[in-house]
Amino acid sequence: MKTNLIALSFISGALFLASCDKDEVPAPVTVQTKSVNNLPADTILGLTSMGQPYGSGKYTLYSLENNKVIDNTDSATAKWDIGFRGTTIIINGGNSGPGAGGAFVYVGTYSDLATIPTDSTFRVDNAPVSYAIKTGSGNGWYSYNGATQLITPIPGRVMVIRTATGRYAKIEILNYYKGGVTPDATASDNDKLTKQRFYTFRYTYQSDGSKKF
Amino acid sequence: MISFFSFSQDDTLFSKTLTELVITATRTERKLSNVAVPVQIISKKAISQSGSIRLNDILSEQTGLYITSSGATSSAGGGVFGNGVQLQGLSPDYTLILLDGEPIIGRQGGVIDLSRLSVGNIKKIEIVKGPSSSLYGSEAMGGVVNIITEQAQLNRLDASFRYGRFNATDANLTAAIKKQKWGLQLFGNRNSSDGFDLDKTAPGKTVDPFGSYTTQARFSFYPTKKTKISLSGRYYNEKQDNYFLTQDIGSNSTVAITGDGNVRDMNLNPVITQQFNNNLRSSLRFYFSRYEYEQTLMKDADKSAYYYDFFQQDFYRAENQTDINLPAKNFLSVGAGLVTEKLNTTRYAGKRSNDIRYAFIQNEWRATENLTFIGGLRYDDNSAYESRLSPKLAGLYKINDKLRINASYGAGFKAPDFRQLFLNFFNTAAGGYVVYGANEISFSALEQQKQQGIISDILPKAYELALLNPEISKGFNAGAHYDANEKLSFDLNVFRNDIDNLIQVDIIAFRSNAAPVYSYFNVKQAYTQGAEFNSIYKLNNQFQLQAGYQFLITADKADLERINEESVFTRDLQTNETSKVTKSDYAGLPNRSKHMANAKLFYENEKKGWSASVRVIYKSRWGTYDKDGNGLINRDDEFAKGSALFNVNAAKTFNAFRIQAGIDNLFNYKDELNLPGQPGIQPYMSLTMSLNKKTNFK
Repeated sequence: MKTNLIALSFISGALFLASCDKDEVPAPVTVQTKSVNNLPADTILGLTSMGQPYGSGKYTLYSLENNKVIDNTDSATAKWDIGFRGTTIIINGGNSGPGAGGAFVYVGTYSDLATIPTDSTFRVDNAPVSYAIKTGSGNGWYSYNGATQLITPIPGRVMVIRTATGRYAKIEILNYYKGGVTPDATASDNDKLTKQRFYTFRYTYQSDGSKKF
Repeated sequence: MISFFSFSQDDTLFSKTLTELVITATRTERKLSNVAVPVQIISKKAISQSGSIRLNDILSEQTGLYITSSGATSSAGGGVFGNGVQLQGLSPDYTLILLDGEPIIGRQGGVIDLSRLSVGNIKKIEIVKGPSSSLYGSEAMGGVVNIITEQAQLNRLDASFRYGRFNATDANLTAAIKKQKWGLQLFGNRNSSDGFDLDKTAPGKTVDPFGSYTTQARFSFYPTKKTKISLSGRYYNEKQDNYFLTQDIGSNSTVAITGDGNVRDMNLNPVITQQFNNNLRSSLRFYFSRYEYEQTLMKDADKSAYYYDFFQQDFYRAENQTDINLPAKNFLSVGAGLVTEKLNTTRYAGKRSNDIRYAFIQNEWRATENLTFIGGLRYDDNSAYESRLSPKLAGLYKINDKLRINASYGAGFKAPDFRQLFLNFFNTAAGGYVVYGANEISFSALEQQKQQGIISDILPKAYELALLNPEISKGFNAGAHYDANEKLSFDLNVFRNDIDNLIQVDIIAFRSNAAPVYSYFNVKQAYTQGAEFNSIYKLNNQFQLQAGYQFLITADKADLERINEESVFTRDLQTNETSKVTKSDYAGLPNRSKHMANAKLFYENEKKGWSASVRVIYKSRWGTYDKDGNGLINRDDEFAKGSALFNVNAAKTFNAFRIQAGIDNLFNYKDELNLPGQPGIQPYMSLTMSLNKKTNFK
């Protein structure tokens, strides 16, 4: 897995320029957009006798503030903000963790989401009955094609996250397969199984507690 | 002039006249010029001049007929199970295929594989477009393809043999005896191929070797001048070798699988027709058909069993149709019938059967010499799903000698199939999911399973479990035929089909191992609309040019709604940036070309015995499957490329022989991914010998 800082977001750049025009002291940069590649999320270890794929069953926990993976031993702390296991995503809040986390899925492009709408309702996890990010094909962030047996992130779905410490972030999942490349429909079942559960996503984290990105 | 082949006078390509007869449009023989619905006729001569051997060959060259490719992914609109035909943009599931007026059964994944049908003994093919359930009941949603085979007209003996690339052989033997009171027509066909391999790096062949036999007999008996008794039978047997590699789930290693798949298809059809007087005729038809598919696969290494699949469908029908000529130029047809269908398969829990009772009435009223109205109604009743009433209205007006216009409105339906009603499928191989036909599961049964701990969650969708309704279509057609002069004619038809209650599978519950439980629901709505244009131009006595074009727009109405709500986005393949999908980006239903066109030039010099043809068949790009996750076809990489196929041939007739040589797909067009059934360039050569009593040997 590797993470890298790509750039300041377009929005923060625009704000910066706007401030300069007014001859004011530039506000400190509090918004950062980062991309995360190939984050394994309970990758498949084998198939049960029923043909059901299985992994270790553990979530990969991630801190958006610090842009790093958090050890599972810290699952009961507010160190992590979001967790990935297969297609299921948890937020550090509700019954998933002790944090103040919540989330919902915004419909629109990543850049359209400049400010979290004031009438937004953040959902919390109530596992395994319901999750802040709804599970199932077409309900939350992905769609599953039964014919090709491939998972694809739905374009125009941005996850809006309230972090464990009550700050805000937006996340866009870009790919679910190793190397950020979805296998061809004609790829072997083995390929489709072993290459899945690797997240590529980008996120924007606002550290000042505001809802602007 | 006596043709060398026993073509009847009216189906000669070059002397096509208004006397051409159609039976499929009204279930009584009518002149083509008196038919009020869109009809296409393919003559025996056109089939032979095109060098076609299977039904899909000749249909693929007709305007507006889109042949789905075998082997394409099912998400691409069907076709995994062979070559089916789309009419007016409706899937192969919704086209009724008839053989001498009786339905061909044995749909696999909704598709009747047209390559099961040899064209060797076909007299003509009639294609009626638009919903026709008012006469034919279930499956005639998009239209009807009726294959009319030859019956003995004179004593004859024909033999032909064709050889082509990939060791493709096709042999035909036709014999006919015609006496004053009876006639017997016999036909045999053997068709085989070594198959072909488009991807040498992948193990196994793209299309495995196969061979098939067709035998058909038709006995006609005329005990009096007003009585006709006929008995037809057909038997088809196909065997395809299988060889492929697969991942063994248990050991996670690659194993080679061998075996074979067998298709057996038979039917028997006694008919008695009595002409009581000039105004009353009645016929009684019986039909039995059986379709079997059996696949046996084993591991190549130790010949241990790997997979066994057996599917047997029986279809019994008894039907009466009575035609009455009433005063004031009213022509009435009434009919009623009983159908029993039976299914015996390893895929379902035990044997299943279904009974259908139906009655229909149709009246054709020739209001004036130039104005005809047709009204029809059919009622289909059965126990396993909701009953259905299918109306049809049509009108034809001859404005003058050159121009006639017609309009028709009809309803069509497709009964839920056995799979949708009775499937009881527990997939142990791929995740332990379960699929129930709508009649195999109920909410209370799910609750019971939940109490037993088999099921963990019942979803709200399960409340909607109900008796399935047939899928229905409502179609409108309006057309015009114009004879500019003796050499040039035009046909135009515009159509709109609204499809409702399309059956889809949905999750109703989760098993305790988290695997989903599926069942079937009437949910989807779609439409297809477009225009079809055909023109024939006779340059002179020897050359004829035909051109056709279809423009087609289709949509899933739910997709359109989502687009209008501005909730559909796409992701750029390069930048990963998302943007809104607009209505103009949306390609509609997958596996449909917006533009299809053909141009055919036929040459025939009967005196010298030469004939030839050049045919170009074009279809524009078509959607394959969703890749960007928005559930619809919009991004460029979600399309297969458009293509133009060039087919050429030439034939020389001398004495009792005819030699034909040709090349299909002259420029070797291939698309391994989207057209796995297209092997590329196919040269062929055939020899036909015809002996008949009326032939004057020189």
